[in-house]
Amino acid sequence: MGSRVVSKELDGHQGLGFTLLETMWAVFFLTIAALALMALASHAIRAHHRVLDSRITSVRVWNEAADFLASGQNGGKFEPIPGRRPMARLVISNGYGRRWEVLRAGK
Amino acid sequence: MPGNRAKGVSLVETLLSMVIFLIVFVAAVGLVDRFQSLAWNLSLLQEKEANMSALPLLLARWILPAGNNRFQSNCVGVSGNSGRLDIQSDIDGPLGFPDNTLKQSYESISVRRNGSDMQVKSDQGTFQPVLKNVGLLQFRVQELPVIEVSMAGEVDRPILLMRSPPVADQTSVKFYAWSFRKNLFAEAP
Repeated sequence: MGSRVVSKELDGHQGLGFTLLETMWAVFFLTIAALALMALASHAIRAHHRVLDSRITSVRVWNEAADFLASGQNGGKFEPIPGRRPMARLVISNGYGRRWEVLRAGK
Repeated sequence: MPGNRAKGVSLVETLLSMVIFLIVFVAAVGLVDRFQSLAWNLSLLQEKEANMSALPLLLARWILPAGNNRFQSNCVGVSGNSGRLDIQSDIDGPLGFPDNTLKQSYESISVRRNGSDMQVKSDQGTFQPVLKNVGLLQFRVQELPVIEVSMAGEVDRPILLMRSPPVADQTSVKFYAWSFRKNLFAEAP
């Protein structure tokens, strides 16, 4: 095949070994496969951390809303809803663009 | 064969090719093995994460209506200690209204952790497992109407090539029992 042969060519016969080009192709495919595996693993780890972070953030917001509701004080955070019975609302958002609306009815 | 070069490969070439093949094979197996361990670990962690996501939702369904009781009803609403929570709430009846009994679904519930299972008991029944692989489940009812639940998940199979702390990722969730009143008063006619 090619002029540069890894193993020795026999007299008048084709070489039994691999050419440099074939070897490089094999190494290339092995490298691609290894990189694909690592990329897949990296993607999976990042997805796991994103889910974990999202849950922790949601719990933080949930706890914040529970504290606001339990405090019984406006504290300037709840905004009254005009035209409704005494009711106020508070919008809490996390870092992922999600927003929660906490409603509190007056007594 | 005198005068001709021998066909085939020499012993040195064979040994050399075997060594190279062995090195490449071991490297490939090591790579695949590490990837398999990682996939195994991620599967366990994902399972734990799913538990920790489902647990607050289940507890919210049971805890949030707690204490919706009527004047002179024979129940305390919320009680328990760090390892067990008893929730009582007269939220339903045969006609769709509170009937001063705790016989309907979700009206009298006890939650506890036994082993690594979260167990739930309804009314006079026995504790039944609901969620497994719960490493920590503690309740704090000192600041009612806020009920604080600390929870953590665990894995039931060994995590490979990673250090696994006994209780990790502890989360505390606060539930505001909006119907709970410490002192019930007589209803106006």
